[in-house]
Amino acid sequence: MSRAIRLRHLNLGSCNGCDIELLEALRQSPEVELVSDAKEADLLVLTGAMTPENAARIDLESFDPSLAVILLGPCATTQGAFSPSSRALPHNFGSEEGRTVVSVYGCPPRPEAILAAVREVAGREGWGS
Amino acid sequence: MTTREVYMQCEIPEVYRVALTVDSEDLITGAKLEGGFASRGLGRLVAGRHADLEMAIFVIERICGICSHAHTMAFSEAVERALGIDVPPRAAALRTIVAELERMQSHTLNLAETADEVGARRARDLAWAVRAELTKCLLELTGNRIHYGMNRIGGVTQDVFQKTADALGERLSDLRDMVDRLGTAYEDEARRAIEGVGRWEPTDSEDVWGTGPNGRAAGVETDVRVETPYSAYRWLRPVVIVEHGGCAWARSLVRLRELRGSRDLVLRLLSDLPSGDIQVEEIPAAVGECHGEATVEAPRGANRHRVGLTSEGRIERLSIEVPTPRSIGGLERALISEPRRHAMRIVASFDLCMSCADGAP
Repeated sequence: MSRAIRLRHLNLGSCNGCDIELLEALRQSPEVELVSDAKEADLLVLTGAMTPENAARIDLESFDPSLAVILLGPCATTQGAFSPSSRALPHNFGSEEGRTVVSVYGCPPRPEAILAAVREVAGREGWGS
Repeated sequence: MTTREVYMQCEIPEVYRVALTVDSEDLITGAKLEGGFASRGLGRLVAGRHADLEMAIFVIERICGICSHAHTMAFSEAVERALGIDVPPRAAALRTIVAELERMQSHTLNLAETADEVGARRARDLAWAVRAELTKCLLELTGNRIHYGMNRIGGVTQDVFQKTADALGERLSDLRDMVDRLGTAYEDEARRAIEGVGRWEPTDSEDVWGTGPNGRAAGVETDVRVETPYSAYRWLRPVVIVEHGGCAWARSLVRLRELRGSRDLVLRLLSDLPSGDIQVEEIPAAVGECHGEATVEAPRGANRHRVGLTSEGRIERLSIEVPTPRSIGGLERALISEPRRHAMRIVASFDLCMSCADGAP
């Protein structure tokens, strides 16, 4: 691979489980790195169920519609264990046409599964070797 | 003197941030932590839709991905006290083994983070390597790396084969050398950057008393495992590890020493596992409305769950006091008069957990 795959990680309101497994995945894999600006990122990684506070602070619509997305863990997809809570909001992020979305299950997903998802997206988008 | 405000984005940016005021020489004159972004409404969830005890424990485990077992342990103990249940000794031992392994993995995570903040790369990598071994232990024991699903009301969900216990003991014995190397790497690479930095020693006049490693690093001899023993700590009697000075190095040193302390506790338990059941035969029905409370020593300090049950044995209310809010005041004080470039390493050394602080009802 010619250069690192850059991830922008957004925690929408997680328990930290997915976030730590993401760090463990990054530790195992030097070809993937975190960046702090979505404009520099190859893909977005979302963890946690969206809380009202974060819904007010994070504008998911503002991200490039072609940016690939990984929804990490059931919370980012369906609010997971918190689904009937009024403080875990559903979001439509990832349902836009043309966007590559990969959901990774497991509570939390294993680091190997996270890396597999990143490589899957890289393959689909044609960045990989 | 002119001051200005700066925001410091911490850890994963969306979890919390610290607002600082700094003077013209970049010394910190004021600090305020802003959080509350990750509250998921657990209290209402557990007292409503998930009021069933089996459902509730699943959600309660997900308050935190780092110290989930400390939450289910406090919750189980609280419910068991409400219903008058005595957990069999083997179950208490297994609970305690997982609790101590969890403490170790939580401490290594913080040691890695603090080392990373001061560019101590060997120390950081070793901390992660130790943590990787610990997650293997937890995986072998519980089937999970995170959210172990081990606790249930009246005991634990799974037993351990003697073969697995022996293998675990061997793995932990082998870890001694790696933990020693981590300690040496911390001395060599990190100590200079964090010694004397970010001092906080709670005094009698302060409203916020320290808890957990942050308190113990400031000379406060506090440890729930010893003060009000529960589970296997009743017969284990762990040693309280105290350091003085209350600086970032003292906080890291307490965690480094507790790695060895917890490891020894697990080895003691594994070498002499009580035989018998891992679960009480029957969960007694609630005798009218009842309530129970329990405090456990989570990796970050005292974690108290108070639960009220209906006469049908469903949860009516649940309140949780997690340790992190008791460290936030200390952090805000420790930052004052420090150069701004020290801010991140001081924040890291306090090992805050906002998913607990926000997530607890």
